[in-house]
Amino acid sequence: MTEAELIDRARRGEDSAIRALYRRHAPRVYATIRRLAGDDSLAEDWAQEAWVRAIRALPTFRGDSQFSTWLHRIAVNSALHGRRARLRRTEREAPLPVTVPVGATGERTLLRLQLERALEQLPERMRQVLVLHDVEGYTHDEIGEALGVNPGTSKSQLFKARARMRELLRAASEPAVQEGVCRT
Amino acid sequence: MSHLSLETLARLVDEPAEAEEAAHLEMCAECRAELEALRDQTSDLAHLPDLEPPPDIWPAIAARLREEGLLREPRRAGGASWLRFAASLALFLAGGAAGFAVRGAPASEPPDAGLIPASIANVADVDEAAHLLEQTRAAYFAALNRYAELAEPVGRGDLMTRAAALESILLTTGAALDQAPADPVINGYHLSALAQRESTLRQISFDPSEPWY
Repeated sequence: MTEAELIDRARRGEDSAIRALYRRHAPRVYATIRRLAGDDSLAEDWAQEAWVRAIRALPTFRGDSQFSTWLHRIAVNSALHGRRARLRRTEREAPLPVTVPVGATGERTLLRLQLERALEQLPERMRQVLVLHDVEGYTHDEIGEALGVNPGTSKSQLFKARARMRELLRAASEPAVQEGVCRT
Repeated sequence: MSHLSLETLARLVDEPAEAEEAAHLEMCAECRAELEALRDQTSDLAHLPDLEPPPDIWPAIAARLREEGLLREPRRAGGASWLRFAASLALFLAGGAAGFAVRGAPASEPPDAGLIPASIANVADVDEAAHLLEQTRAAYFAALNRYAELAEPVGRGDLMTRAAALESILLTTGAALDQAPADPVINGYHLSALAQRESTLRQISFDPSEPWY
């Protein structure tokens, strides 16, 4: 069955078609959202939200772009919308401690674990810009539009984020690294 | 010597260097190495793999979609017999498949359907226990297949429903293995579900070039 047929059946609410779309695209959607969130529980909430929004919006999907591209935009917007909602909420309430469990698995390489952990440690805005640019391939214009900043700010945040990542990765792989190397 | 800052080097990952920066890089091996490390880091980020979502996300999404009327309940084709089948399989797999997964598949020897030893409690060796599990598993599946033959002919719709159900199981066990890759019981569930899915797909003349759903 083609993806177009699946989408058509999913629009009619067919359980098997919606499940099939989920199985096919969930890992990509979840990876994007998880990295933007930097936190498992937020990522789970936002992934749910992204899928509900996507299925709601299916009647508006006309096939002008790839379904995966369309879905990915919804996922990113859900994560960014989720972020704003959380910021509004935490302005009113005392912030809750957030734990970031990182489960080691057989298939994850040490490098991948280090990258994921370093991403989690970045400040939120730096992480978002780095994920959108270096992981997801967004341009600075697209990031500026998504985050409501100008492209120059996106660039500046990207360079800071890459530098911070480098420091975090170096600390993770070379705990005894000498201080003062390559600094101005 | 004043080195280039990390932020400057981070910019040079995808932008050309100014003349002064290029001159410094020409003579500074440390900064060249840092720039190379930043390029590797950027490339590694671009190749990060997708992530399997936790298994409890789908049920939550499905519940919300049902509440909004966006997802209809699945049609239950031949439900009773497959429900019984699934219940039996689950009961068996809860114990039996673990040994199969951990010890591998030793059985070139034929299953002995009558072999359900009364002395199970006396088995004290893990290898003997695994062997017993494998024998019991083989006998169980032989009986189950015979039951399926006698109980009722299985239509293509039933098989597709079963294949879809097994796919759901694999989604869950795959995610569970991500968290506990060495757990023998989870491996047992996963391997058994995989084998059953392959068998079911063969029965419905699965064309690998097309999704079966």
